[in-house]
Amino acid sequence: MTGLDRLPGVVVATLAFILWSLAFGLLYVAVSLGCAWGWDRPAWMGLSLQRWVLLGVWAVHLAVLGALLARSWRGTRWGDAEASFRPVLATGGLGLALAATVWCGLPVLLASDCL
Amino acid sequence: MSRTQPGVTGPATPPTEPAMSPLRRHRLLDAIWRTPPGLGRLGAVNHSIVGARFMMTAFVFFAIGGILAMLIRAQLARPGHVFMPPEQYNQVFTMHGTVMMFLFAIPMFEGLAMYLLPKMLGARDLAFPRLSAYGYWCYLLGGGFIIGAMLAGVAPDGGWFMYTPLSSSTHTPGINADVWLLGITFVEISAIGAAVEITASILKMRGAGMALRRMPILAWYFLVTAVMMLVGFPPLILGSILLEVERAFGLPFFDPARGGDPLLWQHLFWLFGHPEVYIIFLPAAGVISTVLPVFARHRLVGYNAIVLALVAMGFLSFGLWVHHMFAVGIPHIAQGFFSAASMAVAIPTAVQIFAWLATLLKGRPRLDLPMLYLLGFFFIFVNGGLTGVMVAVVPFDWQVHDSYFVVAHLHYVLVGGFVFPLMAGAYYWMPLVTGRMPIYHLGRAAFWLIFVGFNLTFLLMHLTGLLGMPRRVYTYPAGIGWDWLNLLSSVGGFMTAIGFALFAVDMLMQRRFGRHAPRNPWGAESLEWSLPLPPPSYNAASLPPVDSREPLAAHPGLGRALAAGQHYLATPRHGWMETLGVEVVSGRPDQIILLPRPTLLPLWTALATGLCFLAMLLKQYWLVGAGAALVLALALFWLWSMGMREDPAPLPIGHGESALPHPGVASQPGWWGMALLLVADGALFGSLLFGALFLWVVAPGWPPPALLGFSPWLALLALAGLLGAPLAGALGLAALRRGRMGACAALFLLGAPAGLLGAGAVAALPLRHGAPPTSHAYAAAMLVLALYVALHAALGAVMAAYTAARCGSGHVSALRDLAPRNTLMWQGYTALCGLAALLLLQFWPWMAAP
Amino acid sequence: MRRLAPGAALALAGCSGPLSTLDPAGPGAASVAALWWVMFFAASAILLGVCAVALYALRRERRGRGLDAGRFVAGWGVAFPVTVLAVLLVIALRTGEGMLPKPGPEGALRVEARGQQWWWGFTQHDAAGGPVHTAGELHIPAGRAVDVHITAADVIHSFWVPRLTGKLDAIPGHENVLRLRADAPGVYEGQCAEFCGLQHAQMDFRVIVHPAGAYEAALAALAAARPDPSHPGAADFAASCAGCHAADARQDGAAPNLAGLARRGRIGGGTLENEGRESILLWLRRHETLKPGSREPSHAALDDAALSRIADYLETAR
Repeated sequence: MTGLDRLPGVVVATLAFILWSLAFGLLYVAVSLGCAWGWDRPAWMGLSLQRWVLLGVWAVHLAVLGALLARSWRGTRWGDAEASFRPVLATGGLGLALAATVWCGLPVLLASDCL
Repeated sequence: MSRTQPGVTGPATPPTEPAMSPLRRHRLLDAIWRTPPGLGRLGAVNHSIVGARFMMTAFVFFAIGGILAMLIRAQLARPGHVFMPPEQYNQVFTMHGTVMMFLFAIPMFEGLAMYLLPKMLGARDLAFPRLSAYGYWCYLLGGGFIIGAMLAGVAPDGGWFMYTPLSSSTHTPGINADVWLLGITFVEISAIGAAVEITASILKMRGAGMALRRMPILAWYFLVTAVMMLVGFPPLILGSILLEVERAFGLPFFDPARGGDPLLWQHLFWLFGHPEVYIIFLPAAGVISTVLPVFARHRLVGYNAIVLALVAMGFLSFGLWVHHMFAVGIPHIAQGFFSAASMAVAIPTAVQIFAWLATLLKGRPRLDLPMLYLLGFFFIFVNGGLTGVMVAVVPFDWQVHDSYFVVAHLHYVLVGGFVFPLMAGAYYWMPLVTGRMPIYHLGRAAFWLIFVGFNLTFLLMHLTGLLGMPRRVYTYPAGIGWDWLNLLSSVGGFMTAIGFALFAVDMLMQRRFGRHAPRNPWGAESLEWSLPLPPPSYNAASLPPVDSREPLAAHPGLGRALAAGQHYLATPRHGWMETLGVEVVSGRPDQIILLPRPTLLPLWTALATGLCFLAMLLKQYWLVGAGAALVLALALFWLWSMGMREDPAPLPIGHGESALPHPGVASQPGWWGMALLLVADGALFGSLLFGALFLWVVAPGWPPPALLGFSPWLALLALAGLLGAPLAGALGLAALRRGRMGACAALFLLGAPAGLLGAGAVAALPLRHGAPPTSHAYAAAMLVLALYVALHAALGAVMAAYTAARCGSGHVSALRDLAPRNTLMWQGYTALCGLAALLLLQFWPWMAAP
Repeated sequence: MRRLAPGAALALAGCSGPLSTLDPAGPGAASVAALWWVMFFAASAILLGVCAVALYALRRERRGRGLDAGRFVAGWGVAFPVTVLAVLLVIALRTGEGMLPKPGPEGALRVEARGQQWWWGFTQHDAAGGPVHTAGELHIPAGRAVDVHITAADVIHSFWVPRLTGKLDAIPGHENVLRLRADAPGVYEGQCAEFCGLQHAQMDFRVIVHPAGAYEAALAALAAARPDPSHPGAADFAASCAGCHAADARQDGAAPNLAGLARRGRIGGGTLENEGRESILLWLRRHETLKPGSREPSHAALDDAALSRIADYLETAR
């Protein structure tokens, strides 16, 4: 917590988007591996192993980003002034990265497995 | 902040030497900084000269690319028109894309950044002036190499994307494809160099007190762009190396018959290619964020939000590459991820568009010449952005992919998003470069010709694409609705070309006949306008303190104060080329950076590098080795000539403050240079790992017929060498800290045989494979992986020996420890890559066996 | 789309064409065309809006100074595009899902398409399971789902019939499956959409859609469309052409299958309209200048009489 507060805003935003990159990369890798290794057959509760892995990867990253955002949110002064630079980049970066992770994971809910 | 932040024009500290007149100061500084005339110009390293050379050369390539475009439009004006035979047409469209992307857009950005950054940030030059000069020569030679091939009729003809297997030696047996692969890689060297240069300069070389949060917005754009280049270009460099190795030596990375996969090339290419689009767009967007507020007469709305948007775009743009591959048969869900990311990247773009609109709405805009081009930008770029969202829609892209719809889209984005803002920037900054104001009538006429001609050409092309016309056809049949569209596109194309010619004439006329510009003619608020026009070789006679985002708005008299020597580093000493280094985040001064003088070394090194590439093209591999040895020798000589033989003491820098010269400072540009280079190198290694894993999972013909044997002794030897080198280095550095120079030299010297041992053992590992590397992509990939590590370990050995010699020659001390630290950083990086490579080389067989 | 305003009708008239994505003749292309019109009108509105704001900002007397810039950027730069794009993303994914080759109750007809420099070869099976090889023309039934299994023999090509559905690449080492369905019988133009070398422009094909009931008969006719073996040209053909070309739809070959050549609309991947014997002869005489670079060897060794006999022989294959 305190560690996060001490980092420059642009570093926090970068870390946040590195988490997004991880989520995005792992989702893509999981689809590729799953389709190559036949994880797309129904396995548990009507969903394939593939789908469970994707949901898991997505959820973990959402949880981490969500927790970081919640910590960073309090006391954020939004605005355009120099004084708001760090909070806008830090909290805004975490918020945007979280939104981007939600957004880019949507196909997990909407698309079929390996077609 | 306020502790070290003196008032800007206030009398808090007296000027360092009140007796010196501005003219005398100018003479003294100019004697130190100016580039010698005549042949001495070849040794120029000054950022203004090198930056201007980059931009002018890029403009020449733009003209060449434009002429090629006119040839394309001439061919397609009528159905069944045989203006060029297909083999020539294929060379022409390949060269058009290649020239515009690699020889125009990227170098133009590099030149602009090199020219502007020091002036804008309040510095006297860039961090590695000789590196910029080397980069320029590499660019000029590489570009000349490609254009020369075109004039000789052996230009690349496989499209600027060079898809295999069409570009393989089976289907393109001549040297055309080699020209592309080698020439572009040569030019990319300059791009990586420029990216390192720009990043290190922005981070370390700014005016005193210019904290990150108050950097000019353009510097943020350039910073994000340069970091993206560091990560985005290595995949293409790797892909080009692999394809050239496949063509030259038959290692089958992309051949599906032997465990390779043509899709790997597409991944590596677009892993570079999509970020590339943003690498081109972002600097131009930065120009808009800089120029638009000046003509809106209102400070930029949303500085903080825009910086955040830039970081977001920097990352998101790496998640789009597969949208160039929606038709290759990837699972729909994976296409969905990339489709979603492609739409998401529209949000940070929209933030900028609406921040610009808000700036216009809040201000009192005046429709000056640069503003006219910015309005053109709004129409064209927003149009291109909207069609960009459309092609991000997977099913829509299945229809329009590789049709003229995409040609229209990409020209709207690149011309709207790069060329128009750049022309606005050209009119805006020309007074800075030439000291003369634009001539309005010509500029207006050029704008309308280009704007109308461009839209005539490309707006219609959307429809041509929807009516089914595919890209890259040298002819098309009459009577299917494409005839009149193509004819009008050709008319518009020639109109645009006339407009650009007029623009070029305007620029020349302005240089010759424009009326002299007063200081800060546009009433701008960033530091480059505090300089006399045109700026002297050393930029500012004293370096500015900065306490706000708009320094000239806060202190209108800053320019005179700088010229009068009232601020930092006003008095030259020892003939040193001094500029200020600052802490990255706070912008507090932390060192005096001493820059190197003009020299022909960059030119010679670039010529030697060119020799390597030429020898590879001609398949004279002994000459490649000789050229590489020459490059290495020149590089060592180059490095050896710099540095200090005694510990520096803190020196006064003005305003009652003092700082150490950079050789005595930990966070000096040289350290950043090495760290950033390793970021790019890491991206290359990461792409190599990605490639190997991709082949394993996706390529046909796996598992390979034979796997690499387990060789515990060889692996242990490799491990000992690879880990021993950094261990010896770390001990050597510790000895240095305790002042034991002899032990330090000995330990680093020990790193040399350790590195060579590691290199030899790693390189020997794949030889334990029963099958030759040409038999299967697995064997080929393992060989390349091992050679990558071996090359790094061998170079590490050279660096270790160099460091030991530097210890002996008195260039190293506990304070002046850059050589040992950089060597250790390299050895550590090599060890990490070596561990990853050893894991794959030795344990993959077990994982892949079932 | 049933009741069109006059303006839209005029626009649509300019949108027809044998390769037009906006003149759909199957459900895949139709869903994309519908998507296009929605996006077109939305994008036009946004573009005009942005330009209108920019031009409005240039007016001297206006009341923009009190604008809350933060809200303006957050609202129009973030909230508005997020809303629009969210709707678009869902529609896009659902449309894409609808075009995938999902297994259905009726079962899709399987055909194979193979791209090579510079022609398309097709293989399908009749009701008895016998293979039918064709080149440049693919025969399918109307109203039935067809799965085209796409492969490549040399470099990457792309299979594209714009009026039926989107394109899909033919990649060496991979097999891709494209779902097609044509609503009505007719002839639909197709072409290679991925740059594949010298004659990329001359790599057309046709999808010939038969009434559902006539499809099997059409396949049988193709299989029977061999040239007359007693024709004097048969010997020339056997000596000079048969090494690569099969003239029997039951056999495959390295070069385009010539069974039923006389009935094909075009020759040489779209290089020539087929107007009978003269067209075939023209091709035989001048193919090197008509389609430079094609893999077909030179016919310089054959005299004109032999070429005429071969043309006559192939003309019997109908």
